[in-house]
Amino acid sequence: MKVSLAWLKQFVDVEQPAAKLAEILTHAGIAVDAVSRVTLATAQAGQSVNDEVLELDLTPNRADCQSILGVAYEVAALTSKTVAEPVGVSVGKARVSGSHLAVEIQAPSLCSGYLGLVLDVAVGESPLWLKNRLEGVGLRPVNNVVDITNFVMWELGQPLHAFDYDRIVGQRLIVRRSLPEESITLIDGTSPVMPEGTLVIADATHALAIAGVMGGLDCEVSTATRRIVLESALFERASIRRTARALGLRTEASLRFDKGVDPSGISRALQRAAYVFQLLGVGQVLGECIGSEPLYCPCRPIQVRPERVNSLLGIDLAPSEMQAILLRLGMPTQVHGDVFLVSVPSRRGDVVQEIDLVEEIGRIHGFNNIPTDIMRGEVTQGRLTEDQRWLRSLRRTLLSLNVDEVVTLSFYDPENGTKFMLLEHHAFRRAVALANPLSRERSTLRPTLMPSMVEVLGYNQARQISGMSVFEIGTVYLPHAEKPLEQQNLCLGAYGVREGNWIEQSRPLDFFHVRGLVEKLLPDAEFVVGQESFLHPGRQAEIWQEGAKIGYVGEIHPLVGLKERAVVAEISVAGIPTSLGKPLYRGISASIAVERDIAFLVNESISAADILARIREAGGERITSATLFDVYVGTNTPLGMRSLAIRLELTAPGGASFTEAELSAILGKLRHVLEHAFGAVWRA
Amino acid sequence: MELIDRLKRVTAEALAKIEVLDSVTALQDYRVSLLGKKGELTGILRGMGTLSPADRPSVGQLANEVRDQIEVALEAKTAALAATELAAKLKQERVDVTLPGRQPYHAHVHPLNRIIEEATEIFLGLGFSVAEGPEIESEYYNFEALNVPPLHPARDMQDSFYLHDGHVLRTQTSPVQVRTMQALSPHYPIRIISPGKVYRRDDDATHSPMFHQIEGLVIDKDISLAHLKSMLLMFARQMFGAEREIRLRPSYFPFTEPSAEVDVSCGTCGGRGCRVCKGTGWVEILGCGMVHPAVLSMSGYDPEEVNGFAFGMGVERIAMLKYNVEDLRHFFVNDYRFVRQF
Ligand SMILES: [Zn+2]
Repeated sequence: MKVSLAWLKQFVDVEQPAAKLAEILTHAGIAVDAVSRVTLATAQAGQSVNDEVLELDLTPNRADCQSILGVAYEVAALTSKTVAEPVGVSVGKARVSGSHLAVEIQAPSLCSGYLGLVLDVAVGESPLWLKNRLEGVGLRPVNNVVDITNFVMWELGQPLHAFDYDRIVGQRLIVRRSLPEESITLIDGTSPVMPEGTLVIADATHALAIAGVMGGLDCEVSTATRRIVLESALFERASIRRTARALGLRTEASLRFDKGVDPSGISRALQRAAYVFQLLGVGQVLGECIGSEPLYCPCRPIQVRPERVNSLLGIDLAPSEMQAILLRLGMPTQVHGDVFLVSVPSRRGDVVQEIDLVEEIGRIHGFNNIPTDIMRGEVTQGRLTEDQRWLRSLRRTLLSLNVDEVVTLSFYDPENGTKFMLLEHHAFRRAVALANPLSRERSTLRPTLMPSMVEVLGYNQARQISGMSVFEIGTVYLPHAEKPLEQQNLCLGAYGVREGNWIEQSRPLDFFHVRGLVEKLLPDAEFVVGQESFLHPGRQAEIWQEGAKIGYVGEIHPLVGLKERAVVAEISVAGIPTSLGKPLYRGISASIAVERDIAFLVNESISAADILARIREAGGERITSATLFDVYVGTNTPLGMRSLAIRLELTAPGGASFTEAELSAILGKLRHVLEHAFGAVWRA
Repeated sequence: MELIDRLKRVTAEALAKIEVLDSVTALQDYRVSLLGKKGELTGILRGMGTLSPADRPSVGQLANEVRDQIEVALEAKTAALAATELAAKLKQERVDVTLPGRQPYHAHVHPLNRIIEEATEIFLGLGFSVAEGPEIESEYYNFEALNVPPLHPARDMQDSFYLHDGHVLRTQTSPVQVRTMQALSPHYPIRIISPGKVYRRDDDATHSPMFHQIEGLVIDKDISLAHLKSMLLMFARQMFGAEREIRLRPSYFPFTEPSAEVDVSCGTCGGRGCRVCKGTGWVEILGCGMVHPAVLSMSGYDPEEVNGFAFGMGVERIAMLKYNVEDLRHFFVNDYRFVRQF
């Protein structure tokens, strides 16, 4: 909403410069986005005048400020001035029909009031002052009739519409809902088919205007127009909004009806328009207002307790000061004991209950005049739940493992099924769809974090970043009968190397890097050869924990199209043991551990995990650790075999130390077990 | 006497030899060859058994003197050589200290989570708990229970993402507040914050269809706007710096009344006005207000008995202000050159 300072000053005395006024309004909740200077022509050629224009960014509740007069009331309240009401001419009281016109409201639920006034007009160009008023607030002058309707709308907030009277068949206006497939040619030249039930103004033959939105071409005021019907009406807000949205027509009129107009203003707008026609000498009223006025309460009484105002705002204002504030807002009060009975004018449709008046008093008193006061009351324990602390600990564990954190959008491209070569019934093809997405790429909600991770890795590969190792903890959305399930997943992603320098070698961020991270989170997990189609068939594993598959880790399949190899793991957060990050102290042995290395050849098909598990099992409490430190396949290993070297840490119970004989016995037994179970060929 | 001559000769030779030996190892070897079990001097002394008892004391004394003399010489030379050798070793071990060290890697927390963590710490310290809820919400929790009537523009399909089954992606984290109130009513006090992802149907340079919010709620007896103001001032100063000020401008949200937008004094210019604050000296950081009585009633509280305040802030906005991030999209692209700066 643009407000011309010169126009505003017609109704209220403004002493402040525009910038100061903007500040005052902004601090009262009427946000002024910008103050600009406009230059307007004068009657003298080559001379101009300046005006200043305030651009308001109104909150949805302040429909009353969608007019110069409404802003004038607000300025008056804020600066303790009075408003000079606009001048109008009185016209005859409303009747359903008169000598010149009849009005029939067939859809009263969508139109609570409708007045038509017939005028004899001389269509022509508007005088300079009127054109300046309109141009100052960004409206384009058309002809004096249209200009006067726009002028009155801007000034009073009530949209007006002018029909060419002589083109109305039967001189009877009907307010009705549109018929199926009914269309109308509008003044902008388009001919939309209206959604059925759209409110229209029609004559006996066809629709002449889309009510409250835009007029039709047939009755448009032109230079040939001799008589007009000026329409001033009150249309139902939601109906106007639906129509404007459906047809993509957001006009100044529809915006005002959408937010709500003052029900008391419809006849006043006609009186004001008639006055301007007379003032310009371009129009004479014929007969009286035809139609019916809306029913409304001119001033609704609302109760407010001054004590409640003070306690909610945290201030200590005397009741008389509150009364003074309310009076400035045009809301006189009657005192009944401890309660005020406040009369609220009809233009303030947003003020309906006590809390609204609390806000009004606070707003005018000034939020900056409200003190700060430290909250008292019962002490509460600020704490995280067990689950929240655990999730925090998971994040911190990952950060302590030097994995960077990323955050990506929850949206998912249904084409991912193809991109990642997923089988027809793969869970990652079953995504929750949005009814009104912004684009195909973001038309569903992700059932997996993996594609987002692949996108992050690919983005950085394309930018020559030598490598990264990142994680995201995020929600995945799984289709479910009543309502989609939301589940927390952890996704790890890595590619390239962590670069070394003159003294250190680069560290590869490969499959075993990611697997190592997973092992840190899931020390007891089992890794079983996997078969996901989006992963390298020879470099992927399912992750199993306590008998359940909780995720996967693998290199992204080359056909996915990444520039470089990349590895991704995805794990259901619920599958990660909650013991993570919680120390479990077991004491330290009094014995000093001894290390022994063993090496043997074994068939390649035998998994290292099985061998290590067997060693731990066979060693019992005496083998306190078994670390695979070398895997070797080369010219001196027989075909189909590989050499494994394992470092054992042996600890004798109870602070004792093993004798060489005992050590030999343990290792001998172990050798026997491995030879027997896996056909291991001992090397050392 | 032959033995005495031999002692004197060996001693003279030994002292001369010690003089010329030039390493600690050589000295140690020599010591063994002279004084060890099979050493030369040891052999001579062993020969003392053949002396007459009369000669033994004087020869014995001489032998001890000789041994001491050699020991002292050995030790002195060893110490001298050890010092030289250590000095040489240390010299040889010199490194170029101007070379860079081994580079430990440290992980980077995503800036949005960094803000959420920091805000969470601040509010935990003020006695708040963290409440969470689903991102896929019913219209009831996302709108109706928040006093957004069915015809309100915010409920338009244009502004929110809907699922085919009528659920909506929450447009703010306030549904969590309602869920908390409904779960706890009529008990109070409530002091919670709810951080999380929210969704709006907007995608341009300054809007992301998904973003993060932290909302807060206090329900208690005798809560006032002055309490809200003081709480937000504490938050702003902890988040942005002790010298910051805040101001409240009246605004409108269906969930609260009175409602306000909160500005914090600009940290770039200290309030004098600059590009960041568009010359005003203030930047908007959050919206807040007193919980609307209708919301209290719907959630099972008597607005005559208790009231409360609520506030909500965009995490992206806070992060952009705090770290001077110029483009919202950086947060979700995760360019490593961006990630590694946090
Ligand atoms: Zn600034």
